[in-house]
Amino acid sequence: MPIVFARDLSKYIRWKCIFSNLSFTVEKGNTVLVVGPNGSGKTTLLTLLALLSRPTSGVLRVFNVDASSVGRSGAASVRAKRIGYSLQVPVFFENLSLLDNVVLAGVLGGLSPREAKSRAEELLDLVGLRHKKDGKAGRLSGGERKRADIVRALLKEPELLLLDEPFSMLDPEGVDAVKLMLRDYLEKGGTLVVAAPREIDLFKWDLTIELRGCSPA
Amino acid sequence: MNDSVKNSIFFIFVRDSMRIVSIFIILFLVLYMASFSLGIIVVGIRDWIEASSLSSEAYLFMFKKTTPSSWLEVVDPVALREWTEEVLSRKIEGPFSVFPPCSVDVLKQSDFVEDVVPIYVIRASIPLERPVTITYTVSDAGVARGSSRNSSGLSNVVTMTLRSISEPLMCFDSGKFNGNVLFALFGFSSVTAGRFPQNIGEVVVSRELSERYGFSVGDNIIVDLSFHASLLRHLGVNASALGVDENGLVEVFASFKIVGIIDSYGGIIGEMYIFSFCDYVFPVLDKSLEPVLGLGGYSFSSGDVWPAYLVVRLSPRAFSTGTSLLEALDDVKRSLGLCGVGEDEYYVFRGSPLVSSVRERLKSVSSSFQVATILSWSSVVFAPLVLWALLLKHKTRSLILFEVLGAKPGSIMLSLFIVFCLASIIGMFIGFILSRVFALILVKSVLDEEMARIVVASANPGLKPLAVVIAASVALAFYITWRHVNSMDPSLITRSEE
Repeated sequence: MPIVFARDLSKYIRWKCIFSNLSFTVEKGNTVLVVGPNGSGKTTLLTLLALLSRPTSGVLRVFNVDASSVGRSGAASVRAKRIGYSLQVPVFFENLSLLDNVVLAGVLGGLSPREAKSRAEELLDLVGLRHKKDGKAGRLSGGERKRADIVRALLKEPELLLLDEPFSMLDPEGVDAVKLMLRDYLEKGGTLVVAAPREIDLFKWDLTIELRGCSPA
Repeated sequence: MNDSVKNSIFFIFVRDSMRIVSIFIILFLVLYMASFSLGIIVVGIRDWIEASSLSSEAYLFMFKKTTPSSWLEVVDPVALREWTEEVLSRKIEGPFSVFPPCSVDVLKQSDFVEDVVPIYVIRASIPLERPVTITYTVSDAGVARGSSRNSSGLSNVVTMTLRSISEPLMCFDSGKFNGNVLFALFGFSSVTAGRFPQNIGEVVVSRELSERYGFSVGDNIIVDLSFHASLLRHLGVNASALGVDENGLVEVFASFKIVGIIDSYGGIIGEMYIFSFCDYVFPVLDKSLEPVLGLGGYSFSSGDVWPAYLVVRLSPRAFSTGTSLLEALDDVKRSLGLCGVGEDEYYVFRGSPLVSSVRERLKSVSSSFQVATILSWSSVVFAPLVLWALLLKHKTRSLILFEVLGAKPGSIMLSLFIVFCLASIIGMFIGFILSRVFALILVKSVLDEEMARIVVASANPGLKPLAVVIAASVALAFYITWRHVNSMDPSLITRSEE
């Protein structure tokens, strides 16, 4: 059973067509690259895969859950347990510490607070943020926020990891650190979907989805 | 969703909510001050406009306690009523003055009334020389009600009650009020039978009184207004022209028509506020005045009827809000105390500009506060809600983050809602305390401290309205939160890109 099954997928936002007639399948362990220019709908596609929104038409099943009919609570359960999502522009609870922000995601994902804290410190160490774990998230730089956001998405070891432009704000050291984490994640059997504005030479992609707007009706 | 998750979400919002509480308090105070100032301005403008178009006449009738008698058994009630109305009409049109008793006590609201609008009772005492026997309560059928009483021991007290504009059902603008339901801020009161008074001489009675004495709509109550002829000597009026009986009394009886029966003074929560100025004040016959009037030794419990304690025809506008109410009341006392007669039990007070002045001053200050209070308490409800909606709007990305992380909408909503309630209640409480202090300070600049307290207290909506405000706020907040959480649009995340 594929992790993601999409057929003739279309999405409109306020009568504006974002993309249309997308069909693809993502199997467990696949690496998928979603590419397209700005405004082509990469992030929108990721929110669909994360069950945060519903397709306008077509069929989309994620973990065999129908994205068109699943309720908000049902989608939240799937997302909490099985999907990790790193936003294009990371959002944090600014007044909480970095560690609290990451641990909270783990707790929501079903980890115990102790387990979440231990794993968060380990991953933050891996991306060079351990020394900032007790500072407020609001004081992190752009690159640090991006790294922390990916850590947060990875913390619960999701079956499906969605990364929206993961390297856009990172310096070379940051890119290397994230690559290391992602390789480790894939070796463990994870499924990765990355959205980027252009081709990136990161892995051997099993599937590349090019978004070029809407096809004529 | 386990408890730790809920606690985590709640914890985050609680930490953020301290800022919300601060904003609530500041907003409350700002709005309160603004609305208070607006109230003063509005009332001031209204007074100024009305002052230029109204005369300065005032008629004040003072009634004394009624006790049953057999007098009507030998008098045709219809003829009596016609005669009374004729005399009453003649008296109103004539020159008026005050017939003061020997001493007057001013009982302030704070002495005996808790949590009600101001009621000022001026009690005038005078020694009796003989029994008091004449007063009646009759129906159209001419059946006297009540029980007899030996009047030789009757108290020598005449009571005049001044009630502020805020006392509902006592105070109508006859030009504006035409229905049978009186609307107010927190509810309404309706007559269960008949209508509200619209003309002088009309009264509504409480259901309790109606049931006790069998009053019904259409019944007339005859009230004794007779006074001793000797009182007229001080005015140079020939009392014999008015008709003097063998006891030296000028017999005057007023007929009041019962036009409606009410259940209570208040609306659904028992308190009401109306803006309109009164052209007429109608008596409401209600046993609820017993604790007030009973302080002077009276009691309704024996089955007595106090059919009317005050009827005022007011249209004067000669007042100054800056004058102390206590000073004005003292004026009344002094004026009443000047009279050296005071040896009869019947008094009719008419055309007392001093009393009307007191009333007008009280009305002005009190209504200013009521305007301010209504506006400010309305703001208490709506300002936090508007603020809350704005905060939710601006925190959308944070809320969506919770969804991205897998939190269920119900948990988010519950946390938001609890935080809102905490913030609102804390904010309202602190704002309420501070606003009262502010109001006291402000009013003390125009009134003395004691009266300022009374006036401020009169504008206090009390616990029940406060509870209603909080309940309404909580309910609306729940609705707003629910709507917001259920309409969180994840596409907001994408808009930076698209």
